[in-house]
Amino acid sequence: DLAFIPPFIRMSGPAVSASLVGDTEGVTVSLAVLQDEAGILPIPTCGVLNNETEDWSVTVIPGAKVLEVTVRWKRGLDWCSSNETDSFSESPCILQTLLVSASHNSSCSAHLLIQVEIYANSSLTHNASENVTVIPNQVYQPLGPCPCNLTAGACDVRCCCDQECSSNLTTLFRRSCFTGVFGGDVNPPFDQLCSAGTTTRGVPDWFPFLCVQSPLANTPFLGYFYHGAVSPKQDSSFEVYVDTDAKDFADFGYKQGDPIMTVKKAYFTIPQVSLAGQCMQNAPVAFLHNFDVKCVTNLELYQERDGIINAKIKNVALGGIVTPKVIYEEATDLDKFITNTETPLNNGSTPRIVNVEEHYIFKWNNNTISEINVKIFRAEINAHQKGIMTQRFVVKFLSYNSGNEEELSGNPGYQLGKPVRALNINRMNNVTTLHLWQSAGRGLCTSATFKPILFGENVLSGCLLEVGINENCTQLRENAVERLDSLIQATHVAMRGNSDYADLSDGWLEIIRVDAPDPGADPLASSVNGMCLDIPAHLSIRILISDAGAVEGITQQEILGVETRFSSVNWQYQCGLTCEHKADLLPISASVQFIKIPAQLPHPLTRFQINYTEYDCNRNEVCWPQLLYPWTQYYQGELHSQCVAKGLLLLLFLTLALFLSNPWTRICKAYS
Amino acid sequence: MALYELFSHPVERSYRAGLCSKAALFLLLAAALTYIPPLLVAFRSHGFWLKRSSYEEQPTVRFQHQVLLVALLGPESDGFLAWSTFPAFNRLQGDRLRVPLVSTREEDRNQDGKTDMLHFKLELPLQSTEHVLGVQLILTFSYRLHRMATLVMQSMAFLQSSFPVPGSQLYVNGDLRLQQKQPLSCGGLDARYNISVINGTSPFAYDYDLTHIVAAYQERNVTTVLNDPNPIWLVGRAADAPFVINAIIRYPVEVISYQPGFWEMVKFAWVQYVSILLIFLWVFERIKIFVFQNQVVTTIPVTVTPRGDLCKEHLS
Repeated sequence: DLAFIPPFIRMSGPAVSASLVGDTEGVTVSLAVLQDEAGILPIPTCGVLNNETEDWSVTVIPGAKVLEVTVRWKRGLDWCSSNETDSFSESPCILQTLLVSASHNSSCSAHLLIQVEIYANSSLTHNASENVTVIPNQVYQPLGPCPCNLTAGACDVRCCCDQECSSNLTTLFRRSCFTGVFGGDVNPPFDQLCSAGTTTRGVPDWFPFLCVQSPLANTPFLGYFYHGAVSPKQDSSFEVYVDTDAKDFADFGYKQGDPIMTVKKAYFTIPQVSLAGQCMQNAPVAFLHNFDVKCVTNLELYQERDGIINAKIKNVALGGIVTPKVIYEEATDLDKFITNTETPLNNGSTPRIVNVEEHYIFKWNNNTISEINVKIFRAEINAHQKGIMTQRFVVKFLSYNSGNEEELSGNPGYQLGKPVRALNINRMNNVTTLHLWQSAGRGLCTSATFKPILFGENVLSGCLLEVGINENCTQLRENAVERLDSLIQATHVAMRGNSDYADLSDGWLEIIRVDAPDPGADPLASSVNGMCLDIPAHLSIRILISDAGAVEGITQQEILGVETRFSSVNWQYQCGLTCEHKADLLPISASVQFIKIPAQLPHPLTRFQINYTEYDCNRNEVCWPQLLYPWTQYYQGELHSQCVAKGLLLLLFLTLALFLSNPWTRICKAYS
Repeated sequence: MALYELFSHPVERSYRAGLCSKAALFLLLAAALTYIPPLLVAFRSHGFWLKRSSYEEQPTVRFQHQVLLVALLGPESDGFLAWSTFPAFNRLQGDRLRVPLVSTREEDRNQDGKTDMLHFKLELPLQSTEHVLGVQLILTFSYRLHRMATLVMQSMAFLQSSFPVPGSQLYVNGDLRLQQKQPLSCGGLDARYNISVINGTSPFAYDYDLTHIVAAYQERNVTTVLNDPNPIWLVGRAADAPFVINAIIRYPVEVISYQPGFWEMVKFAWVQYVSILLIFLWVFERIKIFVFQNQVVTTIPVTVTPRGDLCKEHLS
C-alpha cells in the first residue's frame, strides 16, 4: 500500500523529488545506482540498499501521510563542465539509472525509477559575449530567422530553430520551445501565403484562389526594424547639448570603427584634421582606422598634451588594461618642423620640450588591442621661441601576428595607388620601388626629395638644375643623366603585387632602358659659351599594364613591361643685354605613363562596321533593338514584368478589336 | 426639269475567291504593307518613344534645424571658431567652441501650405580682438516631392564665403535648387537619400571633415545646392558686436525630369502611329479597289443584295 508518485522520473536537473504516499510509518528510503544495459530498464528489486552514494543523496521530508523524497546530485553542475576540455559537448554528462526503494521492515514495498540524463549547461560554460551571433544586414535577410540563437557555434537550449542543435538534442526540448518575438522562430507564415491557408484557421473564402506563392524567407517583416545607416532626424526644432557622455563600446571588445576607450571611460584622443583642415586636439581614435595627419600650431599657443604615457587603454582581454610603450627620440632637423626660427637671446630660461612627431602602432588581435607602441620625436626649443610648428601624428593598426615583412602592393595583381615594386640585382641596397621627384622650396634638384611611383597613376614631375654660363657641356649632360638615373635605380620590376623579392623567377621583368647618347659626343664643336646641344633633360617611363584575370570577381592587373627613354633639349643661356654671371636654370623632368593593353587585341573595325550603326544603340538614337522600347531592357522606368503584362493587355484589346472587325464578318458572310 | 443628285450611297460589291488563292495572298500582303511600315516610319523619324519628360512642382522643404558652422579668424589670432547642433561635434572643439544665437523662421508667402523661404540669422559672439575672415556653414533640409514619384531625402545647403577684410555680417539671399544626375521614376517611393548628411552621432573627427561630408553628398544622384550668385560681405564691425550671418533661402518651383511610365509612353507612340497609319490605309484601299475592279487577281465579283443580317441568321 505504499506508492511513489510519480513512479518514473526523467531527471535532467540537479535535483528531483517525488512523493511517497500510503502508510508511511517506519518506512526507510534507500537509493541504488543500477548498472544496466543501455535501453532496458531493469526490474525493480530490493538489492543492496543504502541511503547515500558518493554522487547522490536522498532526503526525506515527512508530511501529513506523505513523504517528500528528494534525490540530489551532490557534485554540482560544475563537475560537468570541468571535466570537459572542449567548450561544449552534445553527449550527456551524466547518464545513470537510479532506483529509490521504500522498505517497510526490510521488505520492499515501493520503487521509484529515476533516469538521469544531465547535459552540460552551456550557459554556465560560456560567457555569452564571447561568441555573439553575427546578425546579418536586415535589409537583405529576414529579420531574426532565429532570434533565440544567441551563441554562435553552439546549441542554445530550448531554441528549436537553432541550426546548430542536432536532432537528438532538439528532441530533448522540442516540447518546450521558446515562442514569441524573443524566442523561437518568429518568421511566422504571413496571412497571404498560400501554404498558410491549410494551417491557419479563419481564412477568407477566396483564399485558395488569391494567395501569394512565395518562400517563407520572403516575409513582410523583412527589414522592418531597419532605419538606415544614419537615421533621419524626425522633429523639426533645435536640439543642442553642449556636451555628452562618451559612449562606451569597449566592454565587449572593439569592433571596427568603435572609439578606443581609456580606463577612465574617456576617449583615447590624438589630434586629427577635421572641418576645413583645422586640427581637433581631442579627437577620438577609431579602432582599425589608420591616419597620418599634420597639424600646424602656433608655438605661443602650444600646450603639451598630457597623458600619452599614463593613458591606460581599456581592453577586454589581457586583464582589461593596455599601457602604451613609449620610446623617445630626438628630432634632428628642427627647420623641418618649426618655421620662423628666430631664436631669441638665451636669457637663461629653461628650454621646453615639444613633440614634433608621434607614431602610434596598435597591434590588434580579433577585437582586442594587444599592444601599443608609441614613438615620439621630441625637440628642445627655447622657452620663448616663436613661430609655427608642424606636428605629425601617425596611427597604424597592425595585426598582432604581422611581423616586419614587406608590404605587398596587391595579391596577386597590383592594386591601384600602391607602389610599383622594383629590385636592383646588382647592388644589394634596398631599392624597392621606382621614384620621381617631389620638388620642394624653389624647386631645385638639390632640394628635391623622392616619391614612389604608384601603380596606375600617371605622373609628371621635375626640378631645376643650376647652370652657369661657362658650364662644360659634357659635364652638364653627365649631371643631368645622373640626376635622372637616380630615379630609376632598379633593374627589375615586379609583374605582380606579390612577387617575391628573393626569387627572381617569380615574375620579375627587366626594365628596358634606352640609354642617353654618349655625353662626350658633341654634334658641334661646342666652343660657344652658354650653349649646349642634346642635353638629356626628360626621362619618360612607360609602363604597360593589362588585365590578367580575376580573383573572386575582382580584376587583377599586372605589369607587362617597363621602358625608360631619354629625350634631349638644347640649352642656351638666357640673358638680356648684359649677361651677368648668374646661374641659369635648366628644367629637367620625368614622367610616368601607364598604358593599358587589352588582354586580347580587338579586331580592327572595317569601314562597314564603323558606318553601319543600325544595331548599335550607343551611336544611333533609332537603332533597331529599341524598336519596341518599353518591352526591352533599355527601359528602366518600370519593372520589365509589369511592362510585359501591360503589353499583353494591350494586345488583348487589339485582338478583340480585330476579331470583331470587318474581315471576320466578311468570312462569316462567305460561309453563309 | 433639271435633275439634281439629292442622295447617294455606295453599292457594296464583294469578290469571292478561295482562301489559298492569289487574291487572298494579295490581301495578306496588302495588310502587312499597310500596318507595319507606319510603325517603321514613325520610329525612324525620331521621337517615337518618349524617353524623358518633365513636370513642375514646388517641393515641400523643411529646415531640419541642424547647423554646422566654422568661422575662420584672422589675421592676428589665426584660429577658428566652430559650433554645431551635434553634441559629439561640439565636444571635439574644446576651447574653439562658441555658441551663437540662432534664429530661424520659415515663411509661406502664398498660403499654399508649402513653405517658400527660410529666414536664418546667426549671431556669433566675438571678442574685440577676433576678426572673422571666412565662414563655412552647413544647413540641412528635409526635401520632399509628391506629384510623380514620392521623393523623400535629406539634403544640405553649403555656404562658404570669405573675404580678405574682416567682416561684420554676411548676407546671403539664394535659392535651394534641386540637382538631378538621373531622372526620377514615374511612381513609387524614392527614399534612397533619406539619410542624414552629417553623421551627428559619430564622435570621430573624420566624420566632420568638410571634404568627407561634401564627397559623400556628391555621391548622390539627387542633391540640392544653394544657388547664391551674390553673397555680400559687410564690413565694419563694432568692437563688441557679434558676427552676423543673415541668410534668406528660397524654395523655388523646380522643373523635375522623370522617366515616363508605360502607358504614357504607349499613348504618345499610338498617336504618332495612327496618324501615319491613316495615310497608308487610304492609299492601300485605293490600290485594293483598283486591283479587284480590274481583275488583276482572279475573283468572282458578286453584288451584294441587301439581305440584312444573313450572317446572324446563320449563326443562330
